[in-house]
Amino acid sequence: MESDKSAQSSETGERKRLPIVEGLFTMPSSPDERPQLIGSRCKACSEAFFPKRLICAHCYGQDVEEISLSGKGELYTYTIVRAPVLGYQGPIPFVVGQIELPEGLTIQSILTGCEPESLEIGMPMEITLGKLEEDEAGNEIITYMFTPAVQ
Amino acid sequence: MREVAVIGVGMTRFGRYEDKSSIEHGVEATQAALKDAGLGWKEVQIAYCGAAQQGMTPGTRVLAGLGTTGIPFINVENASASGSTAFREAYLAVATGLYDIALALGVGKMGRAFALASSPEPAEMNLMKAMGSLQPASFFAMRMKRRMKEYGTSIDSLARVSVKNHRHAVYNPYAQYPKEVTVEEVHRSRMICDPVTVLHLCPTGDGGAAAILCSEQEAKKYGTRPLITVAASAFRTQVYSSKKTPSPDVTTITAKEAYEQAGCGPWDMDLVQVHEAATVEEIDNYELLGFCNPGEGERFIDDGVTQIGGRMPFNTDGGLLARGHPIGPTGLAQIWETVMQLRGEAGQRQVEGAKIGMAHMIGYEGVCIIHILKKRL
Repeated sequence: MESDKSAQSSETGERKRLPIVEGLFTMPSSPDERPQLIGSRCKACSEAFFPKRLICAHCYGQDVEEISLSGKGELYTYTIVRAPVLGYQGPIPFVVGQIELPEGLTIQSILTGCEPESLEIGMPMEITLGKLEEDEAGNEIITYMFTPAVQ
Repeated sequence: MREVAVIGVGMTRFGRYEDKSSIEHGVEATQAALKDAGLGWKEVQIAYCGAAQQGMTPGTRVLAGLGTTGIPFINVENASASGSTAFREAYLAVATGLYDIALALGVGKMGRAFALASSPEPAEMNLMKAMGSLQPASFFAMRMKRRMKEYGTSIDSLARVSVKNHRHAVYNPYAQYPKEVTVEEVHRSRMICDPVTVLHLCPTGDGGAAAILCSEQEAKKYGTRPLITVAASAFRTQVYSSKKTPSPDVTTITAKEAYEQAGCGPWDMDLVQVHEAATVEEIDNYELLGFCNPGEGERFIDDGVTQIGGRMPFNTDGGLLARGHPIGPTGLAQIWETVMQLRGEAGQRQVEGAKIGMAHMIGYEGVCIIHILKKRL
């Protein structure tokens, strides 16, 4: 996985942007570059997965390759989470949804950059990155998110 | 395989208890089941305890409370289906002929909120956080929203599941919330994840439930009550399914196996207990269990088909929503209810002439267990 070049060096004591999980998505240094979800594809049956798998869940083949997923899809469903949950320090309420990707899989993601009232099942969505929460040192914990696609 | 009978059932009232441990619930439920069966503890030859997140060997700690007779006591965990798993294993122990008398037990004690993740592993927790899986109710809310879009299911119909199950619970002395609610009250209760309010969801709670199983031959020695036998015990896990390679839901696959074992179909049932952690799940299950086609389930609740007195009563004891769902014992509370109904001992909840009933549970990550119990005529 490409390292996060936007992260500040720890010697400066500045806050860093850290991915919540390594190997799940890319964090490009340029704002013009779209982040990508990292999945896998089975070489035997060509089924795609996210997150990536070592063994194909469809044919159980073990010859799998890492792939980048398209990062665009359609909103399958969503909800606004209003009740606090254990172990989460980020903002409440937040919106979470499921996105159908052209690769044939449905993934779950936090939704951002939209008024919940403007969301509609079936609308085009695209990937972005966003802050989930902050750790004790004040570093920003980053995850992938989806936002209504720019037409 | 031998015929197996359920000769005793017992449970504690589900609810929130300050000073009572899950182990105490287990001892009390087992004693109630033994009394119901007319058996002494030393006659039990093997026991299974279903529990989730209750510390190490909860069943063995119950054993210590009941008396250390030296029998094998097996602890099983399958999330919400833990109690159903214990029942199935006890059934198999007797059906295979290895043991004559077995105990199936479930215990649970929960905090006020669900844990964020099923796993205490930071790596798994972070993966769930990354995907926004931060509130268990969000899963049901998204399912509800999708169902409303796909089939036009109304929020009123969904609320009516909660209304129906709370009404059923009024007549269940062991229910956590034996209190009627209205559609308006369901809508107005605290919003958790749009459009899921708190009365669309099952509560957290504590409790214990137990069943005594024995060979049919042995059962004839005990009592003169109608004999209740296990007509089917089916257990499946989800098969991989995607848009490209669709597979039926695990409930549909498990139900098919259960109907084959019992030699019957869905409409041969007299009553059904299903897993409905949220209202939408009960309507989905009308369809997944084969009672109607996808998209038709809403009619069942709107027309009163699934209330006591209707053509196919569902969750006659109040279900997860109102009887409660302390995880470990829930599947055995379903067995308790089915046995009471088939014996004709369900009081004001009684389904007239009930002879055959089904109990369905789902465990986290696609576990499904279905039992069909029958009254031997």
